[in-house]
Amino acid sequence: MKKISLNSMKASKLLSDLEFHEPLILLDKSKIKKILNTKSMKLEVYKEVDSTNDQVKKIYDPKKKITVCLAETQTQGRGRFQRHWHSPFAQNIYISLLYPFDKNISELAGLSLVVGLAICTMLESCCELAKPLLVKWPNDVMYEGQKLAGSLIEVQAQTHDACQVIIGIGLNVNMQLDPSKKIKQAWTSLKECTNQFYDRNILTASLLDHVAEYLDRFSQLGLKFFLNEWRTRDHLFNKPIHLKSHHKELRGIGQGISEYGHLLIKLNDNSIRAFSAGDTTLLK
Amino acid sequence: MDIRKVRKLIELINETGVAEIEIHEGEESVRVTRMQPIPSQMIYAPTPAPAAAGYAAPNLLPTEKSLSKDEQTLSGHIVRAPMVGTLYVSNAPEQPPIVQVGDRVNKGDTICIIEAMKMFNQIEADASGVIKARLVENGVAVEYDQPLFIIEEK
Repeated sequence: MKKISLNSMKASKLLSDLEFHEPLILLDKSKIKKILNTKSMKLEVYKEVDSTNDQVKKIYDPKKKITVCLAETQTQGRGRFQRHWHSPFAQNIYISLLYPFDKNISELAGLSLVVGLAICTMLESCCELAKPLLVKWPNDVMYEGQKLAGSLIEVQAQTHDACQVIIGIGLNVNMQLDPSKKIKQAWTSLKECTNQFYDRNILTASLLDHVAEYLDRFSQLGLKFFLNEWRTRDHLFNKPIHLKSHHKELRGIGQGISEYGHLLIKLNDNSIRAFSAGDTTLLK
Repeated sequence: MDIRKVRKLIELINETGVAEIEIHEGEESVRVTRMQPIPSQMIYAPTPAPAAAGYAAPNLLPTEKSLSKDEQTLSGHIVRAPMVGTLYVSNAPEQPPIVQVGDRVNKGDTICIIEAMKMFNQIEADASGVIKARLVENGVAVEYDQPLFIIEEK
């Protein structure tokens, strides 16, 4: 009896997740593979996982260059510091890629910025957006000041000159409502931005192709290659910002990034300082 | 105590990178402690122009190579920061530390996390043994090659 009531609760939650968008197109591994240009990729699609970042580590295939895990929903989806990432069923893209680098960890500075740029380029190639997409340092993809996509990167060192990165990306696609108010910041989705419904299979294939291409280029050329592109998408440039890190908070004016991808902020005394971590917000 | 002796001590501490020195002479004693840099996220940018080629990560703070007091007095294998970033001893703020002093670790075990630009780097023990000391506070900025932990190899 208990089991039945639990199942019916689950079903009603599923229905409430689904009722705001039609038609329903589920993720389809063979459809994605057909559109995908990138070769040497292991791709698995799940109905539900704890977190795509954790799952991709379990299915890692050393024979393929890239391993990818995609899920309709995540029960433990997370962002920075294990913050909850709202993952309603079949509405958005929750994906993790495992990519090997022949680099020392210290050479990966700026990788997260490059992932943000890849997402922007992919979205502008697939969707008709009236306004440009910007990146809020280090890697939140913003449309008109609202967050459209975010990513989280975990790095595992293998040996001295090799490491694996796990790039988790959350992209809001057809989500229109957040009735339980689980999202703690201003957000948007492609549906909200363009008033169109998207087949996530097409977006996923394009996302994987773009991210793989940007990662290859980063691997060969480093962050230097992307500095100009960053300038065209810098959400914080020349704007008053607030930075909150573990120990302190401060205000200043965004001055772009250093060659290592650190955020440069001009403080009240006109000095410019670089920061490698923290949460940034634009001041009104 | 002769002021020249104190001056000599200050010179000595600056030259050697020793964090603290105490000298007893009869009834008198003097202790000279090096000013530690304030733990901070900040890295000074050398020029106002963001595009200007700047600085090398290892040279950001002057104390990068200096040995802390703990490091002087404790022997063992030193685990050093492989990158610049913010150090976290746990996976999330409300979680317990990944390792504590006294824990046994194996080579390859994750012992802390360094974040740089939303990249979370799992820092692994590069030797097996017992964690003898942690040399950095949670949430502070660490420099390249900065000593983080001392592992007593057994």
